[in-house]
Amino acid sequence: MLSPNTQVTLLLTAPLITGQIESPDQLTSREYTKFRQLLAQFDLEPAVLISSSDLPHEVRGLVETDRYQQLLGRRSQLTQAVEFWTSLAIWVAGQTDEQYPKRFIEHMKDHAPPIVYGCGDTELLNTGGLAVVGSRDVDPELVEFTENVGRLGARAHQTLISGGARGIDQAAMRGAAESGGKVIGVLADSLERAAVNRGNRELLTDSRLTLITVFDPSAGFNVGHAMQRNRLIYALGDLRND
Amino acid sequence: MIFNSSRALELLRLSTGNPHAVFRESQEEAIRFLVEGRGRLLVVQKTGWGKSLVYFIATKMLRETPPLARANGPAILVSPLLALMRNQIQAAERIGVRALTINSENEDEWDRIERTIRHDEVDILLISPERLANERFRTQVLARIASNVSLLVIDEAHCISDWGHDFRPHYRLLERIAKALPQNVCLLATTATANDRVVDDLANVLGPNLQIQRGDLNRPSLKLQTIYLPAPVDRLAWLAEHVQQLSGSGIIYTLTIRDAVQVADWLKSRGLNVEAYTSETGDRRPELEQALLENRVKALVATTALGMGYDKPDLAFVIHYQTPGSVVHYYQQVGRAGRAIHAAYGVLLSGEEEKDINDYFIESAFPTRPEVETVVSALENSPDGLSVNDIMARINLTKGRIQKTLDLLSLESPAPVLKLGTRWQLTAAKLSEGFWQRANRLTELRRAEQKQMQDYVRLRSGHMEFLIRALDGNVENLTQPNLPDLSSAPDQLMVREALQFLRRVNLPIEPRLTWPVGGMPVHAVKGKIAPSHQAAPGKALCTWRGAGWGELVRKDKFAVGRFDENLLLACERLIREWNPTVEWVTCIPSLRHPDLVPDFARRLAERLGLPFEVALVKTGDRPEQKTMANSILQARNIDGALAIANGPIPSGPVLLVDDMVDSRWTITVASWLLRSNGSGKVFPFALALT
Repeated sequence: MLSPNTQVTLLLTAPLITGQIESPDQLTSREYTKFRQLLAQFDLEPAVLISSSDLPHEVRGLVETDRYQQLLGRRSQLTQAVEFWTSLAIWVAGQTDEQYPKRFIEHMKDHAPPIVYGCGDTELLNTGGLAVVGSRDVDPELVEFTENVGRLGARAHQTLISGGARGIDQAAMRGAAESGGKVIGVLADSLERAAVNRGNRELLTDSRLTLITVFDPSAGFNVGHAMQRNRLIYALGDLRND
Repeated sequence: MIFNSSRALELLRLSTGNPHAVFRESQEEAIRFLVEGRGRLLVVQKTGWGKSLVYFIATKMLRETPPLARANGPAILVSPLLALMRNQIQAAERIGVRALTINSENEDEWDRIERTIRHDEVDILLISPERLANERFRTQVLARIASNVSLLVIDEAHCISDWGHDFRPHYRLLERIAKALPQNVCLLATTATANDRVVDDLANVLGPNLQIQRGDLNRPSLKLQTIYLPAPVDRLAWLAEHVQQLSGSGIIYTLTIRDAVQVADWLKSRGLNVEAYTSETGDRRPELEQALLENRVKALVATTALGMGYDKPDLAFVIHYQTPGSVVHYYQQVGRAGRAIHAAYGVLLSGEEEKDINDYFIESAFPTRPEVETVVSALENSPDGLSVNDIMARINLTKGRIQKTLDLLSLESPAPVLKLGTRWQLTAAKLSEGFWQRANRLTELRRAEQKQMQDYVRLRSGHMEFLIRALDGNVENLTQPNLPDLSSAPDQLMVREALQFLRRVNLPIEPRLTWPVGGMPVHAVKGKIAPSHQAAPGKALCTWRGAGWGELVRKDKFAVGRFDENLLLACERLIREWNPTVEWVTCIPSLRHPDLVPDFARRLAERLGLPFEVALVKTGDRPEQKTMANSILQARNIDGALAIANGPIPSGPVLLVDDMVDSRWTITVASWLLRSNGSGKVFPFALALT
């Protein structure tokens, strides 16, 4: 069951793609951050929007706008989306949830994504590790080199973090996984498909692979998303001993 | 919203068509609760109390005067047996409630219905719990309206509780949906029978603020009685004698479809005006329900397909041919009698076969661990997923078991399997131990319920008190009508008649029209079987181990090794009455029992005055067909196992004899071989159908 904070956050910021339902205009990260800051002034959390009718004047002014009302009215759509994700073994976490990667808050502060969707063991997200980002179109030599980087990381017992895209990302992840290492894939699209991909299944159930994304699990490829997710890879990939 | 009491009464009178109708105890209270938006309500009231009036009138009132700041969309009703709601829907239409149903049978109307919903021209949408698992329904219908649903009605809510006698896996979806609804949504859950444990569980699932309204369980008009008659012939004889004498019309419940048909045929043969009513009755169901309502039939002989929601106020008797699995089932079924009349009979006949049948229902309710492992490993070896037919070709489980396993696994959360398009895939989730704990708990519960019914059968008196205690109801001030007990001994002459009847029945063998999915590689055939090469419609003498001849067939096959003279005479009579135009006789060969069937077929041919020819041979030893659990494996097992014997095949039509017919693949292939080699039409005949 989702925490009330995460429910509100999803209602305000997530597209909740189920079927071909047209969704109202969700809050951008920046708008969401502002909303959180406003709540923080009154020492409140997002959950108050569904649990309390007694809101401070400033907050009420915002919540009573059509846009907020439309977004918050998507309860059943949320239920269905959560049902659907759950059926694919996809979890979803907001910043106040236990599963949420702590490194995002530490390193990204106000820019930390409001919602993370994932599949696989959440513990892996707090291990730090070796981050690899790179191009999709590369020659075979570079692929081999990158696979070796992955193997090296695995042998040093470092989690390998990459973006799951074709080219460098997959080469590094493949190298690490083949050598028995642990891998995090920070996807820019289609978590829904990756979660049921048979090549991933054994790694996921053995807690050797965790896939996460900050975009709706049903969302397809988008260049902007692919660029944005690199900073998430960096944020997970620090090699502190903690 | 302020509840308008006189408007509610007006709607009641309109919907019942009775200008003087008044609300029954607590009906108005329930409607008021919903219309005033006071939250979630569980109504536990016996069948016939009028639950449907409550939700239809509440729907109407919510829709015609939408309350301020509350959802004003359509109501949704989830019920497991929509087909039986026709009467209630008519009552709803009389007060202008526009009711629509979406189910697997009206798929061609879905587009139109979805448009109607989008234009807000539906007041109440009736769906089965299975619909909630349908992706199209969820994305195209539910997602659009759910945020604005004015009332969610969960009919037969005990199905949510896995403590309930009738837990239905798809209701688990409802549990999750009910949990996620805003606390202030109007919710009405109804059930006729829920003991304390189930009520507690429902409060747990449907929300902490669930209000509970409980009615009285006593039925003072019912005269209850139990009679133990182990042999089916005795019960058939008892029915023929007593159904005739009882006044009014009623229902006779059986546990299986086969029994319903057989009991109905028997009573018809005794001149009684009865009809069988089962899930296989199809389009005739409304007509039969109507005939019973209007007392145009003496009785319907029914399985539980005639169940929840069927309301005939003057039903004069409910007789059970076998003991149902639990007190709740029994109370619900017997409680259909005597709703609006002063006296009615509820007689439970108990027989020796019911334990096996109920055991089977209990044991097959969940897949076993080996079944789950087998299905999962088939999927593990197929990264691109498998259709149900693909799985059937790979593992030795019946289609039904495979389907049940997949269905139950896919309803888990998270689900270890997932259907994408037509193919099943494994997900990254493992099946939790909780699944097995739930399965074990339910199995144990059902065993206890079965045991409780056995105690009920042995009662001499205090039947109503026993039932009400079992349901945690109030047993003070119970009264019963002044009706005499019915005699418990069957008439011996009638018993002999019943035995004769059982020995005269025969069963059709329908020809197969297509080859199995994937075809028969050895014979190089697939798709449709050419009509000129299909078997003709055939006959079987009895059901394997069934009442009548079944037990003798089994004994002769395994203990004696030769089918006896009585069976031969019975077969001869059957074939002479059936009278297929045949010119010669042949049989299915067997390596395991090389003489059994040929010997019988030869003797039968002699009695019929026809030549017997060996036309078919076995090409090699194969596992017995009965060890193949599903139709595709049975077909593959017979593929290439039969061939035409040396020598010319007579060109006339032929009687093809076998001892047992199961999947019909053997006779299908044999007919195809015979016809391909010049014989005329092939009429299959078997001693027993399994």
